[in-house]
Amino acid sequence: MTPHLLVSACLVVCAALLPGAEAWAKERVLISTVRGFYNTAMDEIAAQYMELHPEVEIEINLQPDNFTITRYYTANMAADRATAPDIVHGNLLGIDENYHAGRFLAVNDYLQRPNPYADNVVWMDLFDDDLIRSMAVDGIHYCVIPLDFCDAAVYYNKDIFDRHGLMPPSTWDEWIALSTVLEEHGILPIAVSGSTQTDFTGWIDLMFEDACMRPFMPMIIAQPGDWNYVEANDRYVHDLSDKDSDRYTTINPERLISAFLDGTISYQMPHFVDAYARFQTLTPHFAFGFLGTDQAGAYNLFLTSRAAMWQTGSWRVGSLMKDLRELPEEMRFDWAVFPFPDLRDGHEDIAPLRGVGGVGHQFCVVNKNDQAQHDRVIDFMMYLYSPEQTAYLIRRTLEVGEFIQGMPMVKGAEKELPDDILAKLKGFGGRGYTNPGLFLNDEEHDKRIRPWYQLYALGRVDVEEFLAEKQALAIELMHRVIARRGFDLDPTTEDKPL
Amino acid sequence: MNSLLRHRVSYLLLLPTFTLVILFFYYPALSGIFHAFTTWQAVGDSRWVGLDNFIFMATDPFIRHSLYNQLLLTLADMVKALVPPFIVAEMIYSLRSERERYWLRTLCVIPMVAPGMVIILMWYFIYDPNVGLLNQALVGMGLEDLKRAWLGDPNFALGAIVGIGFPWIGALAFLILYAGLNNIPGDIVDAARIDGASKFARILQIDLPMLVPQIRLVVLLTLIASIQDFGRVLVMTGGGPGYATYVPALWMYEQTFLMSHFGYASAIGVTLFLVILTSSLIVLRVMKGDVED
Repeated sequence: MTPHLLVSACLVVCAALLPGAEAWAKERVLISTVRGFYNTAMDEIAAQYMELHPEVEIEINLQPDNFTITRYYTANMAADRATAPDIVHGNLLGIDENYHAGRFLAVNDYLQRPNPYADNVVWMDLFDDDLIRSMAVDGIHYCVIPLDFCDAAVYYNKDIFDRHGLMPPSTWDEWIALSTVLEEHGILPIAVSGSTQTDFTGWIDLMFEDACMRPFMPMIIAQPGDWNYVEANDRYVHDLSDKDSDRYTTINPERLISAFLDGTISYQMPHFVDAYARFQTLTPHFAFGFLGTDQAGAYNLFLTSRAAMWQTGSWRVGSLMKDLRELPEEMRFDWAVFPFPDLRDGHEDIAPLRGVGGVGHQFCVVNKNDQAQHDRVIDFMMYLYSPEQTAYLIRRTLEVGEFIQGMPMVKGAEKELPDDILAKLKGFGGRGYTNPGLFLNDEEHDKRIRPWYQLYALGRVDVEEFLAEKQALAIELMHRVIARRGFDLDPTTEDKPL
Repeated sequence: MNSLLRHRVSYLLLLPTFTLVILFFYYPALSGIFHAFTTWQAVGDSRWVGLDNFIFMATDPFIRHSLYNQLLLTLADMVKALVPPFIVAEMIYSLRSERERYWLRTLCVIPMVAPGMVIILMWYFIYDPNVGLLNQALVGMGLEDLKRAWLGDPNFALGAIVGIGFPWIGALAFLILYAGLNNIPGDIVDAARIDGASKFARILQIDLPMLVPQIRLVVLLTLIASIQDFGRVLVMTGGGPGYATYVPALWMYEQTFLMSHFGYASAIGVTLFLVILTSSLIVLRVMKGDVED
């Protein structure tokens, strides 16, 4: 073979691999999301959108789990932002970090525009106010547009409870007591996945932190003149027993950091010690080997009635209902959920535990530094989040046996849910959710604190040692956030990342 | 130059291979070495920080714990890679029937076709604390007191990872050692037999010294694989509980893909490379004697 022939052959192969002229002409919107939720309906909605807009190609890239999406997104962004996904399921990506690093787009302006696919109603007005506001970065930057809102709670086997005369607990002590009763009858009390990949103790920590941080609310809420002050802050009434008192308010992260750095807030304060000590009274009632049990393992313990309770989130409602229907008649059981019981026990510095609300299926728009592409992406999202399409999304998803993760975000979409699913989802405790502004976090902190949660849950370290480490890691986190975001700790000036 | 022109087609044909090797192996490696001295968070420019990443490594508790775990895992991997395959190779080598040798050898090699991840997942289920085979078997034998949360107890998790693949007859190590045994000249073995050497004496005084090159190869391959491998830990425990099973490569992976700390991850990668290089040189030096020596 002569060199000329070889070069010609290479050119032919390259030409064959190039996309056709039609593909080049289309503008592509790439969505990277997780498998198993909404997939069929999303595909169909994308196809409908492409019929309306033949010049746009919507490509849905499915990844098996949140970890894989994280790797996929990170690798693509590292290679070339232009070819990275336009919309990404942001569950594990660190929304705050990505926004402040300029990788995610805040869609505030777009939310104020009319949605052409919903009779030109202002897009923001289509969403559930409580929920969408609670997810804004710093309380003001809307980077996450979720399809639904998931919540954590305790699932329980009503048949087992009835058989032993037990009622869902309303206080922590009642929870411990009923767990003891179950153990005495040879039943595993609480199935929980504590493996490093799906560590549920982190969720519990969020609730405890929320309960103990709320007393500091007047100190850290954004004040008039602060860069993230919103008018709703004026209406804040400091009432710890009211789970909804801080709804719509924003917390100033610089006030929060200053309070930690000058020692006004510390995880080693007595009320933190008292609260966290109670967590260690519960963990002995977790199913044997919970730190080596993954989500499937914990689920199986509950599904097979070996465990009477199961700590997880609303995203399992659909799969549990489906699996129970498929079990032999004699193995089926009735179930319900109860929110996490009250921790306070008369302690005035501790607020009641609130649900760990979190975005379920969530979309973040990747900042491509390309206005035309952003407009294109948002147009598709407006179509997807229009009431008509959202209704279709839910209806079709349930029809094909896939799952939703929680309450829908678009107003009125709830009525698409069958009564039985709606009833179960409503058991998750209402709208009183942990306030994400009360605690800073980043992926590094999450990783570094996790071994300590696990050792604490096992009783290998005591509450003082755990909280001392938590405090040390929090201070490291504060310094990282200061460096990353260029904070000058003056709450009145919005600082730019260095 | 004339030779280059004369064989230009051959060189041209080699060019794509070496271009790809440079592009996909050498460029990332060199880039990694450069980025080990920078902070780089995937998007945007990297910033030169000198030795900061390496200094931070010295104080990072994940590195401290994971180095200790890695040492234990590597030692265990060495034992697993050498002892069971050697014993099995010796047993099969000792058989008189060539037909039996053939079938037993084949039986030892066939498991090689099972994907490693399948084996790991199988062991994951074996170790399940509530429904796993191991605990169920212990209960069945009346040994309930020995039941453990194998992957959920910091005292046992690393041991459970070592246990993966029991009885540890690694097909590759077995083949290398078995081939080595077959290459021992028959007259040496016959002479030992005539001199009245027992089988045990033959193994110690003839087989082992003659197998030094093969053992060295197995040690080197195991060393490299053990330090690079974090898949089994990622799947089985994710590094937990606590720090009990973290290894440096897993921390490097998490720094890269979960935290986007490409600079720090590169520093861990470079350090691992240096550890592998130094250990390999030590192994080569310590085990430099071969059959000619």
